[in-house]
Amino acid sequence: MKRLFLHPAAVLLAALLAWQIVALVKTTPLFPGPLDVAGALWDDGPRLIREIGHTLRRAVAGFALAALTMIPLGLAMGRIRALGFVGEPLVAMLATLPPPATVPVVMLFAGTGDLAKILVIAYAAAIPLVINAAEAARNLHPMLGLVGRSLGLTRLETLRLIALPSALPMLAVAARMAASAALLVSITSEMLLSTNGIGNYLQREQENFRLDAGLAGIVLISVVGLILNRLIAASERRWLGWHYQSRTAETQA
Amino acid sequence: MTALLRPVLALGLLAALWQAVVWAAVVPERYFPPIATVVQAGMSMIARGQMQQALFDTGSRAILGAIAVNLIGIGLGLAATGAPSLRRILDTVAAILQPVPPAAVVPMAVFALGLGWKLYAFVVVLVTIWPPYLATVSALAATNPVLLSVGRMAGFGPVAMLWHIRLPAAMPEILAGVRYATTIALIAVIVSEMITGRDGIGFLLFQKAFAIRIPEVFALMFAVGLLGSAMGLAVSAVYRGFAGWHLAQRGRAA
Repeated sequence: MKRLFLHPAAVLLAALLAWQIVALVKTTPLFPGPLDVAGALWDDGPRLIREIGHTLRRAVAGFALAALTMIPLGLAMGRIRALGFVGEPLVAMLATLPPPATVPVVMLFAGTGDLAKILVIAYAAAIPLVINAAEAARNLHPMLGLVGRSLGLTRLETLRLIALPSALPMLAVAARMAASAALLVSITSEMLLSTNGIGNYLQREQENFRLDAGLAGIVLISVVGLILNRLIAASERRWLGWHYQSRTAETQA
Repeated sequence: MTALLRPVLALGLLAALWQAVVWAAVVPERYFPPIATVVQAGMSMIARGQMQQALFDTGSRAILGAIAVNLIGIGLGLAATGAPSLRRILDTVAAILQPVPPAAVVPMAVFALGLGWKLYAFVVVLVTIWPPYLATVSALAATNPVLLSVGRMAGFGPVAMLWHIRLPAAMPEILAGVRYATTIALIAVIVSEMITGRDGIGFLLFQKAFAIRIPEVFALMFAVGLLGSAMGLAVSAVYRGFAGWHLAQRGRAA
């Protein structure tokens, strides 16, 4: 009985119920209850789907751009000492600059269209990717480097065949951070450089005092974020199962 | 020695790259001013007191917010470790709230809380509390079994075990969460300032950008970078205090 009472779903339901009761008592559109939010979600459904589509498209583009350029750069920084020596403090310095602070400058070069937003997203996603790629490549087990050398691999082959696969677990951690950063910054950039997307929807509806619609947008973002997290976790298990298996074996031994 | 040399070298390289782009004239000078112009713009903003005021507004919000949020997050993590049912509830709340960007809640928070410190406190707590919480919970759950056996042999009760063994062992991971939360606290404050548009660096950045005062925009970005570095250094100092042993161990292994 106690178990059932404290079940997360039960608590969530109780919270929703309490919220609905307060909303019924307050009876003002400035305090919408869960039913109002559900109504707004239903009414604006097709529009919300379209807007989140724009948001996700740009998030994916920015993430892909960052992954394609920053993982090779990070690995190279970890393996080639001179590059890492100057590159790492440079990256550490850039990492302290929050992505939204770059919006004004990007706006000047790339306008307020898709390109500007994708660049800001790519910048946000790039930081964890490049830092973790460099860190993983630098901490490569010395034995693996020797194996590469005794096989007569060139520098590029060592990077591709040894450094990249052994960096994958740390890259997975970075990818998770980068993916959530991409989604967050995608929405933020839409609120700041408004044309379309779910961030723009949020901004506009809340300025029109449609708070129920604003909350509906936030609910949708939360659901999409949850699904995204699940997908990433599932693909990690699928492709990095070997790593976690060997780790559990280690702790059990 | 190298610890000091590398940032200086990187800064010099950045300056050289910057100046090279200016001299190569690939971008119109109007949009990419020489360093001297940026420094001048920054100086004049300092002379007018604008820069200090904005840095103080943003910095105090971000720093106080980061301290509070990290303490609450770690506290919640400890409580959740002691009470599994609380942990299930908090994990659900975390999963729901974590994907919500700080910017999304700002307009609504302005209605409810006005433009004062309550707005920033709400936004920072809502979006940054989860990294320290999740790190604390997962790190406390993953104590090395050998260490736990040592504690049992020493006859530790649950509290002594937590205080002397599990918490110290969890510190590196917890502080990684703290570091992450500290960076997003600054981001959340700047985004909130950009949207509410009253004061702080975020507001000033947008004001100068829309007025096309490019040197001022770059000077402000540099100031934000400095603020971020200062906050990062503070976290590093805390890290050395609480988890210095971890650094030493890693240094020996590498």
